[in-house]
Amino acid sequence: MLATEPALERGAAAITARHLEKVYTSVARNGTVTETHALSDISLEIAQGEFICIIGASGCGKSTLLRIVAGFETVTSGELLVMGKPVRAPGPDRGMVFQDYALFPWLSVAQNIAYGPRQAGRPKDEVAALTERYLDIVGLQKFRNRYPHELSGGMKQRVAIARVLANDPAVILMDEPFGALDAFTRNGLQESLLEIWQAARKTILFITHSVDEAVYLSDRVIVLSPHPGRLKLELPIALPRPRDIASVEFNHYKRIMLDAIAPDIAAEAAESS
Amino acid sequence: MCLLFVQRFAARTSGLSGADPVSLANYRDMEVASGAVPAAPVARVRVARSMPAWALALPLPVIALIAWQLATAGKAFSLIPPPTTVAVTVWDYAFGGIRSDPYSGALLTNALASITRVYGGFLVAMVIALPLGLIIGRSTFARGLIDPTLQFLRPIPVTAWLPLTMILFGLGPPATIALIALGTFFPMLLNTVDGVRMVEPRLIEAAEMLGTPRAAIFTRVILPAASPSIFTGIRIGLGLAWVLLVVGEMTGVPTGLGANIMDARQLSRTDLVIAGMIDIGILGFLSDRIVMLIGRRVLWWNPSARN
Repeated sequence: MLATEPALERGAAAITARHLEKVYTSVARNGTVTETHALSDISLEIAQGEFICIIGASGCGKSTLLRIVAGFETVTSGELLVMGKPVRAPGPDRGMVFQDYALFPWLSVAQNIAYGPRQAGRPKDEVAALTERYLDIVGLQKFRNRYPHELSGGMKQRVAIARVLANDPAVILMDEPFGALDAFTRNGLQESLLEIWQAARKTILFITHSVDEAVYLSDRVIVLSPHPGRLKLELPIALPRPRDIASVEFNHYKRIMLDAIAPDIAAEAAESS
Repeated sequence: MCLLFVQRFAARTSGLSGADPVSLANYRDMEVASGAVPAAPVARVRVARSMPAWALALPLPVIALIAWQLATAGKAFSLIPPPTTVAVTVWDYAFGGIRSDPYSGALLTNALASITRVYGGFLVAMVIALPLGLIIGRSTFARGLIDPTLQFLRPIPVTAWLPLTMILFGLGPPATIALIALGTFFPMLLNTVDGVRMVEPRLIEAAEMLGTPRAAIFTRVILPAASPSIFTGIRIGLGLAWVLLVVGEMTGVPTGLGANIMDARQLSRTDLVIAGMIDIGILGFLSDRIVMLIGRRVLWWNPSARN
């Protein structure tokens, strides 16, 4: 489907985060103010074309971080630049793939993919060409006139990915995109995503719960720690692709990550029991 | 009493957003769709599915008709006429030529008068309820301003409005239309409000990140996402408009199916009362079918619109 190109040279920063803080303030009925420190002193530099996985125990703020980059939420303090520009609101330069797909149920597969380019006011023939191209890339030509409720979870997520790609975003944000899918579908989509990534040279910020998924997909894994959400570990994965998930090296990386996450998981378990 | 019940039912049904009122056919589909049904019911459902729908629907009314005939035929002083008499009246009311009384062949004129009022009241209510519902659903300010008053007015039955409407609109069709509009207004309003409020925030976020201009979110996302619920409200509203017809025509209008029924009651023409009931039933059913067909065309993407 897509020609596999060599990993591209990494230059300018796609995402720069400096000392991000996010505090949620909620006021209870009796007037008590509760502050939740979701993110604390997050500084990151993500290069263009880099595939980053973010992992961490629940409450570590990984989704919050992604939503801040998307522009759905604002930071309490700190600076966030995407392609050198501060983030103020959601925009088509940062495409988001949600775990629950969030396809428009009243639009067909092709119309969902065409949605973004149409918002951008592109001419009709250009929209049509883009739609064809991304239908091909995600392998859904045969289903182009189907509606989301007629598709399987894996197909829905393919549409969601194509819909974002059609906007040609600088950054693709993925919030546990394969978390709701079965293992086979998930593996297939991981392969497709890597192919797409290598061909399209997009920067990808990918949240996952799975250590395997993180090591398999990413150039670099970022481990967050909860309460408050903060950086715990940055781990570049220096393995050639395609990666052998049964290899010694692969398991070596898994071990490092598991060791980093284990105390947080244990704390979470102790809290909930 | 009956009206009160209808109102409560409508209020309760209107709480469902996007879903059609559960019908037997719907229920059957649900059972078949979910694989985890015990063996015996599945087998029974299969039998039901292999028969044409009319064959399944027919026995109940046939048995009821036979029972009615047996209970009333041949009794000289029965207050309820047998179905055979009613059948003759239905024919005579529709086409004339049998009884040659003032109601022979009077159906068309009266049905047209009633249809005008039903759709008139329904349209008046819809034109107000839909925009108002969209505003209340979208704006917390509008909700705080209007909603408490509406919640207070909602439980008041339409029958209770009858005297006031007659004072305000006089005796005649405008009062009828006003009553029907009052009764159909709330289900349409509440379903529209619900539909707008229940739009998944995710869809709005998706639209935002795909570059939808802020001002266009309403028409491109909220409106289509809320449309199944709005449609359910319209369907309940139109159904209710037919239900309210008889009360609506208690305002002293001389024509109309409801007016005919009230007159026939005073003349002790129970056969004509029942004929009028049957005709209202048929018209209400047809009107619902038309709305369903429109709904299926407009909401083809919504699985719950195809039962």
